[in-house]
Amino acid sequence: MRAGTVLIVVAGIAALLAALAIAFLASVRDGAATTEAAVRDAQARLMLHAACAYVLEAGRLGYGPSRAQAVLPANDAPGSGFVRANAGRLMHREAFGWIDAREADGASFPDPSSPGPRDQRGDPVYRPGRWPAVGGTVIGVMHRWRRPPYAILPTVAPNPIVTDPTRRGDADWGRPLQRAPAVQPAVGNGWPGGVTDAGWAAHVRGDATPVPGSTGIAWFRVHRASAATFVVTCGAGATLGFRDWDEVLAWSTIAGAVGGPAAFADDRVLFDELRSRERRMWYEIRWSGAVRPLDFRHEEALWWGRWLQNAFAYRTYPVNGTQYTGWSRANRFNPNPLGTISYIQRLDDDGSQPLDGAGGVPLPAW
Amino acid sequence: MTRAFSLIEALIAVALGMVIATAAWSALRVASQSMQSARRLAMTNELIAVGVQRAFAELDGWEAYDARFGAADGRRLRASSTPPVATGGGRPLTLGLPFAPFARTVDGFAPTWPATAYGRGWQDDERLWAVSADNELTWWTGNKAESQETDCRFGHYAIFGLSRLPAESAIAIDGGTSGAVGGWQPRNGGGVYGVVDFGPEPTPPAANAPVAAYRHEAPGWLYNQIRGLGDALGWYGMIDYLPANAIVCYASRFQRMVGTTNWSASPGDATDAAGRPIYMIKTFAKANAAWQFPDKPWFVLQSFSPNWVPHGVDFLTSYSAYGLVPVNGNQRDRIAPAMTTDELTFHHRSVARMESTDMPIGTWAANVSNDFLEPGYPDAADRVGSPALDDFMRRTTSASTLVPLRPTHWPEVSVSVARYLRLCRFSTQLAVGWTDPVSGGRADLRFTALGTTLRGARRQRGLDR
Repeated sequence: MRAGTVLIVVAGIAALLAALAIAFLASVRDGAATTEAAVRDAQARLMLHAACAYVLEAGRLGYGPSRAQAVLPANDAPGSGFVRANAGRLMHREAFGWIDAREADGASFPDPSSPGPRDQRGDPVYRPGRWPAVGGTVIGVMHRWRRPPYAILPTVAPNPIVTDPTRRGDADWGRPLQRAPAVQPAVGNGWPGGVTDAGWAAHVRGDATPVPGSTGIAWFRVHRASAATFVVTCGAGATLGFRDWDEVLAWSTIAGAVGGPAAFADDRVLFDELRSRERRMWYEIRWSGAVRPLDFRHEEALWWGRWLQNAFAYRTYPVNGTQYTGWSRANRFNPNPLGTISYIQRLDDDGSQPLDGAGGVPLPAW
Repeated sequence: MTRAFSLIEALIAVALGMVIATAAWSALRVASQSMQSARRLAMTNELIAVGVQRAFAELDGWEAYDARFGAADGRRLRASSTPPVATGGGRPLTLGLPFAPFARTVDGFAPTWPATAYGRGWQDDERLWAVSADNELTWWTGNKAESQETDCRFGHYAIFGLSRLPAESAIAIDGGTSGAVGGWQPRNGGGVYGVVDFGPEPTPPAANAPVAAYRHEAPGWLYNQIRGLGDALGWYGMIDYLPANAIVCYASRFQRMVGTTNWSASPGDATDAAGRPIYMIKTFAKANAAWQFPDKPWFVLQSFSPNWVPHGVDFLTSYSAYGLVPVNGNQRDRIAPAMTTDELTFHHRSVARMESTDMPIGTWAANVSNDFLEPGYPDAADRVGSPALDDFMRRTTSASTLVPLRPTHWPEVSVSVARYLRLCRFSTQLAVGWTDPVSGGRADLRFTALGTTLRGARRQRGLDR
């Protein structure tokens, strides 16, 4: 009798504690879900940063050798990443903005109806109908690469001056010898004896292998709606930026990652689940070729005691230049050498278009 | 036979039992308090997360500045007003707020603005200058450093600035001509760029300005664009619309030369070698600004150094901050809950600056002023010192309580948003603050993020093309 009473009391207390614990855990879980939503919101917004930076850079940079053709080509065939200058010299392929000022006359370039970006010769750096042509779309999957293209070593002093007193008799002692390049690639190239084309190619190509823990977090997607207007989709989740399952089926690979159904274990339900938990936002942004100049002074003649007599002094200070160093010459005063974003407008819903072109083609076609 | 226990044993047993019971009771209390505390923290955490999302929503929604989905009272930043101010040209003045439709403020200028050759640069009905300020193609995109030692291949500012030499109605920009005063030609030659036709000589202002005392005519396209933008939207809105490379200066209407400066005696002081009006490139002491510049060109706002600098957005914002005032003020702190349109107009044309020792108002100090707006504007005065900066920050901060009618045991969570322009950055400072109901402790989570810009918000509301 007495033992049964004790059992009942103990069981009751245990049940009470269990109920309290479950309620507590449930509330914490609920709080975690709310926090997760805020975190995803923040991550998606970071993608707006990334997309704007991508738009700024893609109008002028990024048209070097394709990763498939990292070895310096012998000609300037399309896709080589190089153009041949008048003297026959191969030049790195660059562009001059989404709206190329050289198009103003409407006749100088082979295809005056297509807006930039164009290379030095005026040729569009894209193929019609594909990103970055008007109407094209690109996805940036923002996992971290094991080694980005053109990665260099963060070596501060690759050629340290020998100052060890015990080596005072050495010929090198105390001399600033440039025995090694000041900037060295992160990929081991065995310099000076082991430099090879393959090493160069690896340096250019980078290593797109995702760093563990950096996948499935966030992505952005840019659709070029008109010459300088873009619709940006920002996402925080693991769908890799595919709008729906049909797009997944249409694309076998995307930048630096496994694309297509294999990315989702050929499981549409999994993709839909990921899609339902994902945070997506849409923005319209507009690019402008206008950049804020460096710190610029037009110092009049007054300081020199003359007036309008060849004493005008236009001075421009290079970014982080050593002349006239000062806080106003720092990089923070010139954050936009590739253009500026005129405005950012949050859209109420998806204004972007499906991915361009036929399926099965890697998105970063250039 | 059972053995009875002694009194001592009974007392020990009771004492031990009490100790155990007390310990159990204390443990239960601690557990209960811990659970309560954990629940409270969880709730606080949840409210903070909701506050962060509310702040993000405001970042893109701009509801504190223009209630897109709320009551009409929240859309008062679409208003414009005609303040009782004296203007340099004697024309009527309409000043808009950041969400005012362009046409409403521009129409105020229409009767006195030139209708043809100079172009107003605003309305689509202008055939010659059928451009809007939101069209990048309307802006000069040259290199500000260009034209002194080069051939001006990126464009000549004078073509856009439309300043004039005395008694001349047309100027050929020709690099081959002699180095005449005014220096219209690039220093190192260059081609003939064409002729800038100014039209007839303007009528000088009637009062206090002899004919020989003015050099430049105002109604240039650039003047109209920049001046019009500032009047339409206030400082923040003006710079939001300006291209990054815009020269935020212009030759103003009927500017007078004054005899107290050494540049007034020179006949060649009309323009510099790049065709920029001297007025545009010189900075002046603040005390002289009002009478030297009845129209208050923008560089006066940044009168920091004696260097003569054609200011762009970089210098204009390097020592000055321009804020936006939320339509219903700082609700949490009960700061100016409902400003009048005139007050809103005033504060959207105020500047917070750090002044230097070459300014007459004192050594480095915070200073909030809008007296460059128009002489005689009501309440136009400097407010100097840290209280002035505090006032500026309070007025440009929108703060609201997340759950105003919360139970007393809930934490108070507030969300605030401040938008301002400084160092060429359009900064949106977001903050979520909370007060613990038990300890009374206050904490803030402050952060910033990229989101919809003013122009984007205007586009959301159909106020921009």
